Amino acid sequence: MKRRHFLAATGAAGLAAHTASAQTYPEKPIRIVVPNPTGGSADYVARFFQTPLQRILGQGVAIANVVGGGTSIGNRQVRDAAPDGHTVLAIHQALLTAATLKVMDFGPEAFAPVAQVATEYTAVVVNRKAAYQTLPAVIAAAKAGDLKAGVQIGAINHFLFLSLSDATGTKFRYVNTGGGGPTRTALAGGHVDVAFLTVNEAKPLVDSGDLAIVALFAPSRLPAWPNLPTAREQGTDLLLNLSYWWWMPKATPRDRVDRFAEALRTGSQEPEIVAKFAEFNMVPAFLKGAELEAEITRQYENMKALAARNNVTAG
Amino acid sequence: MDLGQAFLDLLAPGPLVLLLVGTLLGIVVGALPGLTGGALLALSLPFTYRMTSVDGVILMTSMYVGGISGGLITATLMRIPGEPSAVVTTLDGFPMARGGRPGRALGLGISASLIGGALSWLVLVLLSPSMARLALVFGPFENFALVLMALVLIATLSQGSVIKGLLAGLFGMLVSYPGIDETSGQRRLNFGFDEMAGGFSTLAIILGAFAISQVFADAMHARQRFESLDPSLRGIFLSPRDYLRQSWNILRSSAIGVIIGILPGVGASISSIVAYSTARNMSKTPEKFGTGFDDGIVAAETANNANTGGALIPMITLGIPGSPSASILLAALLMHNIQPGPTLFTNAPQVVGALMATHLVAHVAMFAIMIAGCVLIARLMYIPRAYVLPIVIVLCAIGALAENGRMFDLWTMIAFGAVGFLLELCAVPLGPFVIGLLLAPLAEIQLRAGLMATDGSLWPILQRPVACSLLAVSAAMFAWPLWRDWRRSADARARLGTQTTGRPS
Amino acid sequence: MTSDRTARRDATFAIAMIAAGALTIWGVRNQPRAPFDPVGAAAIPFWTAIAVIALASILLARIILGHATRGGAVSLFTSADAIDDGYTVEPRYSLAAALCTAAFAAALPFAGFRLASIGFMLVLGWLLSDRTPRAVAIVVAVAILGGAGLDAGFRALMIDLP
Repeated sequence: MKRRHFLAATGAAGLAAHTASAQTYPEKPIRIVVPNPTGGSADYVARFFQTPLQRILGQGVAIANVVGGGTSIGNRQVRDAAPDGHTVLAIHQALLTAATLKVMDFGPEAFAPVAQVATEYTAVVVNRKAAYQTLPAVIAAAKAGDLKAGVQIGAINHFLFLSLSDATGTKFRYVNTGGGGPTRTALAGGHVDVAFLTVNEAKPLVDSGDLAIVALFAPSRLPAWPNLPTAREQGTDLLLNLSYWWWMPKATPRDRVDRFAEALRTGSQEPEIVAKFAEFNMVPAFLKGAELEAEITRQYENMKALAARNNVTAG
Repeated sequence: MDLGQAFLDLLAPGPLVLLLVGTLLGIVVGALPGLTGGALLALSLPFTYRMTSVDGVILMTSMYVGGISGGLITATLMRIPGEPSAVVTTLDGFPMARGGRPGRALGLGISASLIGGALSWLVLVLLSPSMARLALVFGPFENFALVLMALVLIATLSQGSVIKGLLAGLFGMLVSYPGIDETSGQRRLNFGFDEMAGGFSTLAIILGAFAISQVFADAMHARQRFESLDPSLRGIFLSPRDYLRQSWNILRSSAIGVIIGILPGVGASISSIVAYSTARNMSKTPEKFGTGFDDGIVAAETANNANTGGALIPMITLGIPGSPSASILLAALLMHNIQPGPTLFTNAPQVVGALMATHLVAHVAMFAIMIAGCVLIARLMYIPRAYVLPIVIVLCAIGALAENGRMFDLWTMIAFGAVGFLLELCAVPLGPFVIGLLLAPLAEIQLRAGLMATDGSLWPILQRPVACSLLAVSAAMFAWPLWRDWRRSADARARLGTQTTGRPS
Repeated sequence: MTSDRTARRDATFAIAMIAAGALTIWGVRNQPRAPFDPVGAAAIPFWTAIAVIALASILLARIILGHATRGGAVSLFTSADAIDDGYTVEPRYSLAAALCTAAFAAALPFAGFRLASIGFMLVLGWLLSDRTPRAVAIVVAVAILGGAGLDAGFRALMIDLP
């Protein structure tokens, strides 16, 4: 708070001073804002990096779960923070979906993208007792009658379904069961028929014999799950993944953004994090700079087109 | 998994110290208004990464147990619930403490917490796999029916005027609506203000309505000196006769706590609300509730501790956390590459053992620490207000800011401090207000999810046995106290009528 | 409390509730339809508000018709009155506490958490105490130790305080 007012008062002079002292960055502990609750995949990825970042940057790194308003509160807080590189946002495509649906009155353009560290492919999951246990069977069932899809309206798991129905010409009936955790519970209880989950989210209930993973929307099979077929193998050529992105306030000096991005690159090559990614079935996929911006723009445009075709915009 | 070995391992110096520290921290944070046990768990998460998974589980489980128990201290002595789950404890705990028996009030709460926790531990250890399936039975309509049942209990809880109690509950519901509508993702009721896009923080409202309003009210008695009414704190330990008298209440409230704990859609505060209201409805002397009655404290505190065991059941067997605190525990396990679920018992038996053993031992430690601390704790009541009230406000401010770091939440808290004060001034009960606030969002999300599944038809709710019977119970619980009160007042009027015939008033 | 005063307070409460209900109905008047949801974001707040207005109107009607309402059994005020031992209740201290708290919140962004909380605890503690030298000494000690201690403690836990 104090910091922000100080900056507002000193204005451009303050910014200039910051740039001059860029090689001293970071000067104080860094705050990573995760706009999701503790225990979601966006939160895990941020927490993987907490200790390595502290070591690499030589400063404390705190993680704050700023929850509410479908990620918009945390996003807003980072957008409005002092652009000095000490406040970072860690979030996947939720930033794009919230903007596409106009839940927030700003989108990715209000931030400086820092880096992408990994992607995680998602899978279509059904109840073990269901009559459809392959992707073609699911699509046929969806065409025949309405399959209830467990989603959080307007969130990424909803957009994944929109992509699938767009690509295959099917329709689903959407039921607002929430994020990955509650949705998989509803699926196991037979309250919805189909859901998009990450393999990691589905695992405990697959082990218990309640759920079955039908298809992974990845280019190839996962090393840890050699028996899990991809969607491509089953005739639907579609890649659907979560992209773990990091952002800073728009006006953050370029060299600070870059310093943090490099720290993330170094961190993501450390054995500890490589092991974590493997454990969580995430795929390391580092991007920064122009490449990252192109990837974000590509996904954002796709999403907007999808929302327009399916007539989904909230007010 | 060898539970005996797990207990032996836990009693080694290292783990035991960790357990005691965790329990003590939990109790202190639980008792402090503003900071909740859930916040403590989230804060300690980074520290557990550097520990072994077993140590992490010991620390976090003991904090969980301590946090949920500590809430009763300030609820009883200052009428400020340290935890949202202790809101109902204020109803009887505070009148009893104010009535000169703080020792007895604390003793009842502490013992009830221990017994509720221990009973839920038995269920956790013996019945986990079969009970966990309950978490799957409850779909949107079942959850809705359950939340509705808790909502109609507002009518039971409103002491005095039922209509004012209902209004307070509905007002709480209204206050919960602004922000993002969770079902459609739309913004609603933000009246054009950017800051309102996230709505009011529930924690800030509870802090305001209970803690800040209490401070404002206490300020006018600041110069009053309390004599130590009961310096010996007689009654901390309950007699065998007490236990015998409460046994049915304890069993019933524990069962309610465990079952609601298992259900992932609803939180710990609901279990104490339902247990308290059920106890009152089934009591032969419902009018004693709210005046400092043993049964009220016992029902509330048994249930919220029994909730802890319940919430852990689906977490370890299916990987589904039954409460927000359990989900942080789950996150800690996942960060240690331990995936809870059916394979947990074979993959990480020592973690399951540590969790179960800690759950019981932490309850015993909680009991010992709180009973021993009672003499000190109860003095709180007699410290001059001038020293206590300012620090309570500062703590609440930290709590409101710590949640999301937003000044808006702090202002929300202060505004609802004033609202709570004014409601009290109009003799409007605050309990129903908070219940409406907590439950309305849950009820709405579940109802609308259910209706999305049936394409807008409400009819299927009657075809689902669990949902339908819960609805029937809600209807009965709504009608029964109203009818009983009406009968009583009719009787009283009749008696008054016969008395006054001879002596005109 | 005379029953006349109770009735006046109940009427104020009822009117405030009607206003809250009306504000809600006004607030959701332009809520757009939700694409996937048969109920929509406006329906439930709307019907809650209708229920509030209906109940509050009944309460108001009862007061006008002269039916007495019963007060809450447990109130900050009644329970405190129950052990009244001859001192006077001083409502102006409630107002003072409220104003101090608001001033504290307003000062936070400028003064920082440590300074604001120490100042707040000094002022409110002094106002509420009996101002004997001993009491003032305790208030000062509590304020400085408490303010600085809480500030340092929570910063160590990396809670973002202004």
